[in-house]
Amino acid sequence: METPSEQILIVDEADDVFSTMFEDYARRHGVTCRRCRLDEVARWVTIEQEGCAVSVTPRTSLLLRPLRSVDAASDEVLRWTWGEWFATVWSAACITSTPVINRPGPWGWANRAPFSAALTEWRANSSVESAEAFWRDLAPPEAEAMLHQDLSNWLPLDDPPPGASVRSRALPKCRGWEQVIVLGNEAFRVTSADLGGWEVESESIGTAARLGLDFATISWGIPADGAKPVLARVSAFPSFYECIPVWNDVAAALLRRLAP
Amino acid sequence: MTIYAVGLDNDKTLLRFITTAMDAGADVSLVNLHAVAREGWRLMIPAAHGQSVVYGDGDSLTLDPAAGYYMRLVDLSPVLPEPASGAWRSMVTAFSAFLETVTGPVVNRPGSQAHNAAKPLHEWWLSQRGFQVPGALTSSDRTAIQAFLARHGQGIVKALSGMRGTAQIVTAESFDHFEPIQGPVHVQQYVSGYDVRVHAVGNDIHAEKIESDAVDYRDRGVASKHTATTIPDELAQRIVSASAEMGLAFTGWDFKVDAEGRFWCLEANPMPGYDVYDRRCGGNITRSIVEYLTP
Repeated sequence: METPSEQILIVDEADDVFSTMFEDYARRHGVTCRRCRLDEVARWVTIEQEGCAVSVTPRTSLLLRPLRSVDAASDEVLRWTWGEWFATVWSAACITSTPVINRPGPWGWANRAPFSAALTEWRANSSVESAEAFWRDLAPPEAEAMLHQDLSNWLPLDDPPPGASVRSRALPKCRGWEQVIVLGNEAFRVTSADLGGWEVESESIGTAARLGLDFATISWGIPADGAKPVLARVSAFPSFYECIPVWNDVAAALLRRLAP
Repeated sequence: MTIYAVGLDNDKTLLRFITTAMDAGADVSLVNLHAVAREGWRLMIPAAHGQSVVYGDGDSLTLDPAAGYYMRLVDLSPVLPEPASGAWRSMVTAFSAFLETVTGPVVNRPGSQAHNAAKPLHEWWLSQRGFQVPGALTSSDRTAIQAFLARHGQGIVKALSGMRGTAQIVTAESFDHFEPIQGPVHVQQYVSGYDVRVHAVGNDIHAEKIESDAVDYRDRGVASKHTATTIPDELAQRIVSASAEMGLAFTGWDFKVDAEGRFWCLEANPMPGYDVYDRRCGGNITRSIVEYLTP
């Protein structure tokens, strides 16, 4: 069985632009990467446990990207097999002593970052500035003042139609948004807006850490009334487009961690 | 204090909980996901920040965030056609977020550790907490699998994910014609002995000894003998601590006990289907859950 010889394995989907750009950046800096799908990696992996001792091969750095789970309409065997691949790679990436970004934890692939904005804030800060409603055909009070998202595709909705499953949240009127790419204890601001004395970098690093994320995009709303910025969104898998303004810094930092 | 039982009205474990808890005097309301999915619903996150309402067969139910919740959420989206599939997935996502933030007790609160769905990680995690776990290998490499089995003599092949599969006894020869494309497989050292199933609810421990000649005593048609038993105090404490660390109020633990009396930990189940064990112990497990949910 072939064993990958590259320095970094990128576990991703074929259309992931971030992976394409990072592979190119790494190659220009003399580091070899191999992009691979979940099933390939699952078959390369061997995990052996005896008592408390465990070994994982291959001993290669891993960059984990978002994966599409198998189509719900596919047959039962394929769904079962995908689950076997996923369990193998999740286990290997959590246990291995080689560098992994983001290393999955006991909670899963994206650790403690959930689909609910309010729950993300709850886990990150133990408090919530603005409640979130999940609903279908039973709108929350003052729904007209809220932002709505269709839960089937995460697209914004102006006026949720009957039968749609929706999440809605009221956010304060914002004069702007701040986005920070966090990698471990480094933070890269995408804008340079004046936030007064509020430490957006350290707040973003702390938020990512509390969600178990090494690498994340942390987005903040900056209220127009001068109140404290509100956590608007956390992504456990920053996209290339989110990183563009600070791409060279982010890619260099990733390389330092994955190919030390 | 009300207990909401959230799940499917055809789930034998949920029905066992409801009937036994009500017999014990508890006030239990069923939140039947089949009925909720048919009508409008609204769940607030955090749960205490507004009114959460579900309908079940025409009746509205305002969910009290300070109540107790016994939850058996099941994601039926893979077996439903669209748009019902997406609607079900959204409803389960919403309930998961809601139940993580309710202020009352929950069995089991979403957001707990999920590694039972990744067996190599689960077994490694248990071994790091002092449980004696059988040796195991996950691989698609025939040479590595056969070398592992040659060392251990016999092994059990198990599903890697949380889905239940048929456990089989294997030897090195079983893999003579194995190809990597068939992998990965999870092979665990075979431990001969009797089984012990432990249900832990908070600090309460309920243990049952199962004697059977089958590889898996749970298989249909298997003859088995079940008796109530006790486990060593140190093991009970380890189970209570590990369950708490995983964020699970209610767990079902599977052990094999070998001829030397050593307890080998096979797994900790985060959503135990405990109805048959509860019948045999006269409802004691349900009573522990009710006590946990109505402090």
